[in-house]
Amino acid sequence: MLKIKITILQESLTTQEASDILMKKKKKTSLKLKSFKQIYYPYLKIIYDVKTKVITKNKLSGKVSCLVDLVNGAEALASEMTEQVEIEVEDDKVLKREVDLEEAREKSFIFIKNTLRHKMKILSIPKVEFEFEEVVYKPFWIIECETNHKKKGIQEFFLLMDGVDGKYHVLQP
Amino acid sequence: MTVEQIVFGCYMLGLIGIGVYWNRKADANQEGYLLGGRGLGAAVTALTMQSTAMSGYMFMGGPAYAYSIGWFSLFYAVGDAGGSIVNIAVLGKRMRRLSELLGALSPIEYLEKRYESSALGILASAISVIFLSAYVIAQFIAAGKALSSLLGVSYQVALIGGVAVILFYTVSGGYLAVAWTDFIQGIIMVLAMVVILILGLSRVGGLTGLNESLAQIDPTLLSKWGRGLQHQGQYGVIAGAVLIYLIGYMGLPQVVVRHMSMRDTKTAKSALLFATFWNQPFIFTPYILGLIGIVLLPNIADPEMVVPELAFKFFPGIIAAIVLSAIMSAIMSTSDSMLMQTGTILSRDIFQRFKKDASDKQLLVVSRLMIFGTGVVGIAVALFEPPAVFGLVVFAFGVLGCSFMVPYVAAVYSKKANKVGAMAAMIAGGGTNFIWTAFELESATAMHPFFAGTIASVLGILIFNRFGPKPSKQILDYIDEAEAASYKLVPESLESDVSKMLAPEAKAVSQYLRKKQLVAEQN
Repeated sequence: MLKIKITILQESLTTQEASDILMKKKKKTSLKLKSFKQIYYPYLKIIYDVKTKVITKNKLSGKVSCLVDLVNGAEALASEMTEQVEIEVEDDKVLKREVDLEEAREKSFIFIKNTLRHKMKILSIPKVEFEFEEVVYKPFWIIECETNHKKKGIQEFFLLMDGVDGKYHVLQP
Repeated sequence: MTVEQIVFGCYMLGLIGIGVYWNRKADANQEGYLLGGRGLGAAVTALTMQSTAMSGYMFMGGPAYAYSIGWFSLFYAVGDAGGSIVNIAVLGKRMRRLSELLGALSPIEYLEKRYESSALGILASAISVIFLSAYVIAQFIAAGKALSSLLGVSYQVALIGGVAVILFYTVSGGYLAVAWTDFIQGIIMVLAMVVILILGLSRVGGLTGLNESLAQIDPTLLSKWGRGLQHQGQYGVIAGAVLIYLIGYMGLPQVVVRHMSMRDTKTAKSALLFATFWNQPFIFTPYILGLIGIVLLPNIADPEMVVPELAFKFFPGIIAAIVLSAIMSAIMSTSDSMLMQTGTILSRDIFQRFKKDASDKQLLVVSRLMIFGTGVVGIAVALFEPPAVFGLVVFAFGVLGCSFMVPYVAAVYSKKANKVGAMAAMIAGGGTNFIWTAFELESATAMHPFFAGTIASVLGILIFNRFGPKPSKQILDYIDEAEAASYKLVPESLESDVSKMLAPEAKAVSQYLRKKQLVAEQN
């Protein structure tokens, strides 16, 4: 299998840590975690320097970082400046980029301006300046789960868990 | 300077102080602040949500209506008591999932993407802008009256001053409208209402004494048909009065947006529980206060002033002034978020659609014009022919509810619902409510405008759905996914913590896995 070098946002949670997160939440239901597969998801990380001048002038002056998902183009604010690590992984564990970087840059810039204005209810224009960008990958776990439902019997489903913060979502079969 | 003026001044300074304090605190964690109120628990979210939602209506409109019609007014409260539960139970999860799949950020964008029609988006935007503005104007009138009573100045001066303050507040909004200040105000308002209710009831001899006194004044005040039996036999009016707040919330863009912005269903569920609990005293109290007003304030010139007058009657000046200041600032907070919303809809959903290359500055100018335009129109309406707060809120709420309720519900429950049907539902529903109110058809037809509008909207979608193209395959797949057979496999305790933020990644990884599986099967 071909191996490639990528920069990931942070060391991933271990399977034990991921398992602990789900087991804590399962409460009284039966839950068996059958398998864990790791994948890496591409993002464009852009750091901006933001200046606003409204009443309390230093309110929003500082660095804001934005992550643009390079598969769907969805944008999000990065909640923390995490340490990055370079690793070598098999290429079939890495999702292919489908959004080109120029498009991602544009989306990110519009998103950051709209977010600032919306969140702050600012009726003046915040000054947003590009500072730095790089393509980074985030580790995710695909977790195969099984429950024993009282009426429906044994049920299987898949969860996608963010390997950095442990948040998860249900995967559609 | 009177004691009341000093208290009001101090109260406002206090709010600014709290705003500045949280603002400074937020500096230390700027990203956390930007990412929204994640740290706020369900209780604060619920109290904030409720207390600022209908301030002007609850303090002035509701009591005034009860004052004029008697116990009949409680039909509105009965529906309102269950409104949040119906809203979240019917739309909640499905709307959240479908909006994730559609990638829609605003409730209008959601309708536009679900029904695959930009014309529908423009129509929805126009209806929202007009009737949200009417809602705001009701708040202006309430603000003018609260300020006039508090500061002892004329209604005209208070109105212009109040609206100017609200506009300023909107412009500098984010700094004052911190959830915590809304929370503190919420507590003050509820405490005040409950204390006024207890004191009021003790003055009139409890509910029994209240009913006896009402019967002496006019026995029909106790009737389910309303004072003077004005709605005798009109079940269509009663149905509308109950239904408007029971199901109408499902048609309010500013309310359904909460389904879309929920981060996880767990917080939403707890918030709902708190809100329902909180709602009960808050919803019934204003109407009962109106009834108490009939007995204790028989000669009041303006029934909308029942609550402020009772506050002054029962409390020493300082406490009454604090209560009125809380009312005033809650009104400001409601107006602020609605004004911002109308400004955003007009600039982004309408103006930018026609002028795709609009610059930031142009969008800003349009937003500001909308906000100031609403201010000017609001002052003109409130000065020259002020409608009753109750009537205006029920009108605006009714038109919005009748326009959007059916399209929102059909969006997630009907695979047949298409753009022609949805647009017909909006026009027929909103239009019928509008005409019914404007031409006062309620008594002639024995049917409440909201009830008539809802029926027209349902007929609109049923009839006109036959003429439009079917929803695309992708939309049909999304509706299936929103119903989510796969979610049903997941234990409830795990599902309630699913993170909305990961929806795009989950969608992409699901596709990636499907492709991989296909390749594996082919090999």
